[in-house]
Amino acid sequence: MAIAQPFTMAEFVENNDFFIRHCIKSAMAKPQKMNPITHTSGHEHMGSTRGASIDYIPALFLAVALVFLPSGAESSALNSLAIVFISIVLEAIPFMFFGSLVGGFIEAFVSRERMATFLPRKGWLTVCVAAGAGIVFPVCECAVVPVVRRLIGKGLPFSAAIAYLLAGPIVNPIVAASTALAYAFDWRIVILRLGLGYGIAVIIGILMGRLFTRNRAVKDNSDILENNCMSAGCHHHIHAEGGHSHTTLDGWVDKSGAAFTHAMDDFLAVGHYLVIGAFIAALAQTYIDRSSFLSLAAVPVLSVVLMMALAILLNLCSEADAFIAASFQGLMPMSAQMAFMLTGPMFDLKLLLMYQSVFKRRAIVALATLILAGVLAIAVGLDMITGVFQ
Amino acid sequence: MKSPVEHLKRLLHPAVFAIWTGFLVYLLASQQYVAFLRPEFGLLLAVAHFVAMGFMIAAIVRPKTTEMRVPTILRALVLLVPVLYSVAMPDAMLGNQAFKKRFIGNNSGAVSRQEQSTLFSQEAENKSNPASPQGENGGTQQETPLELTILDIFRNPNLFKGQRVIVTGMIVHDEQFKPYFGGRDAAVYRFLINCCAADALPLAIALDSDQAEPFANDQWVQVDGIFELRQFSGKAVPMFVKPRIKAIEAPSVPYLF
Repeated sequence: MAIAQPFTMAEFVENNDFFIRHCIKSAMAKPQKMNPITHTSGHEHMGSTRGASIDYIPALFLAVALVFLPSGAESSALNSLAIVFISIVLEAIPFMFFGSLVGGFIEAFVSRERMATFLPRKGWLTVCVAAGAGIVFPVCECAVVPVVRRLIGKGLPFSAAIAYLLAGPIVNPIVAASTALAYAFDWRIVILRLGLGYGIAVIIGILMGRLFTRNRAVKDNSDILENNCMSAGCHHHIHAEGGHSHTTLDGWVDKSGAAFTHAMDDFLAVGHYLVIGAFIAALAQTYIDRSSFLSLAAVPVLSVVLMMALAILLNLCSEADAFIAASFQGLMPMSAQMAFMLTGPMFDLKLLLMYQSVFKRRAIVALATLILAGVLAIAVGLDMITGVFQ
Repeated sequence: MKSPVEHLKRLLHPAVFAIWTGFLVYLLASQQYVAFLRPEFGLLLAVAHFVAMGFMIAAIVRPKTTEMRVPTILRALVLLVPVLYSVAMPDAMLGNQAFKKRFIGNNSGAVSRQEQSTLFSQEAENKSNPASPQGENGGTQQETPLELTILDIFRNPNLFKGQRVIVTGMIVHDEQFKPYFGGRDAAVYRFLINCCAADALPLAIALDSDQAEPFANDQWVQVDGIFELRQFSGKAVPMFVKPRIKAIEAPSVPYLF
């Protein structure tokens, strides 16, 4: 067990100014009673007012999932649904675990001060660096959400967090390799995909930073903050009456244990969104006829819109989506294929749900609008450039 | 004496991770995961099961939960739905229903790991292939047929043009696919997986014969025939001519990777 180390309030504030503000505020708001240190995981902190609006989703999902349960039925559609559903979850869950672990270790091992030293002083430069961070720290879209959740808690600027969230699953060597493989090593496609993904992420990151303050966009900071303060591994105990606090994070083993606890919390907070998103994607894959999309392929803008819609519905991993996009070669214009490969890693059904664990609804709407508008504009622009892909 | 509700509060999250750990161990030990994922994902699942175990331990040793509301319980139950589906699933194999929803023609991108630019294109059809012993005409077939996968043929169709080959796959009959099957309504097909069954792409070779009639959709068969690229509406359609078809047992790994 960790050993308690006495801290003065001044020392604690100096070292933990970010979350202490919240903790002190909470403690002072209820001076008459010392609340027990409870652990609540994930969205427990959302409270009934903010959380009520989405609390019905798990209940609704459980009811629908029971309706579609194959349960030995001879329906090949239900069987396909089950296979695709389990496949998406199984493919994503290792990355979700790893993403949560990375987030947990960041939480336990990287202080806000150290994080600040990593970041450039200029805001736009931070956004640019964050958007390219996937090159050295490749993540898929399932893993990136819990990581970003923790990075925001550690003080990564909101605009930079958005840039990493959007670019990380595209601008990374694994996606570059899979895209190259899918398009028979046509490096123009690879460079275009990564370059456009990077550009869109930087622009949207900067725009989101202008449109929203962190508090207006990031969901209930106390979620992350209280995890910092109160989760089992961390043991930052605030003693409001005594005016002092202490931390017991003094050993590597303790920190690792804390990292696992944080990671588990993150997984519990985001994991159910993954499952629900995977189920919706499986429904789409089971009941939507891909060939029906082809009849509208002749209209350039419409083909782009259709492929973007397909990317949102299919919820494919960014490491695999290039193969599906490539299967539309000769059937859909390259601009539509590119739109498919840019949209999916930034915005699909499961991400829409997973973003709810980090951002407020208004921010999600703005983010989705910017992503869709940005990808559409770029894809239509690409379509106008003649001869590029001939 | 603790009430059942208190037990539930205490054990819910450890139980969720314990079930996931057990599920992953089962999938790995039984090799069932290849019904959903590429075999290479086994390593990831193996590591993931250790992480799940770590989360389980973290959930056990953390301070006792004093507050757990209904939404928390529901969210934990949501995490168990994939395991429930795995138990309830009658058959861990995609079939003709998935084929019909996903098939958009034998397009090159499906197997673009190599030779993509020439696959099934008019240009490819017109090229003579020095590697092919039969050249353009294809006529004579060797006595011993080549045993290949459909993917082998799709990767390099010109190499096998006019040759007698044996492939394994499932039967699909559907009138709507006649334009893709060179005017025929039956084909032998398999799914190609790049990561997981969600991205499975059907690869089909049409059967130029009524011999497929007696076989039901999704029946596993071995087809022994002459592979050709037949021109149909300006496109080269992969097709087996004079196929001999026999029913076989489903292979242990139904997909191509």
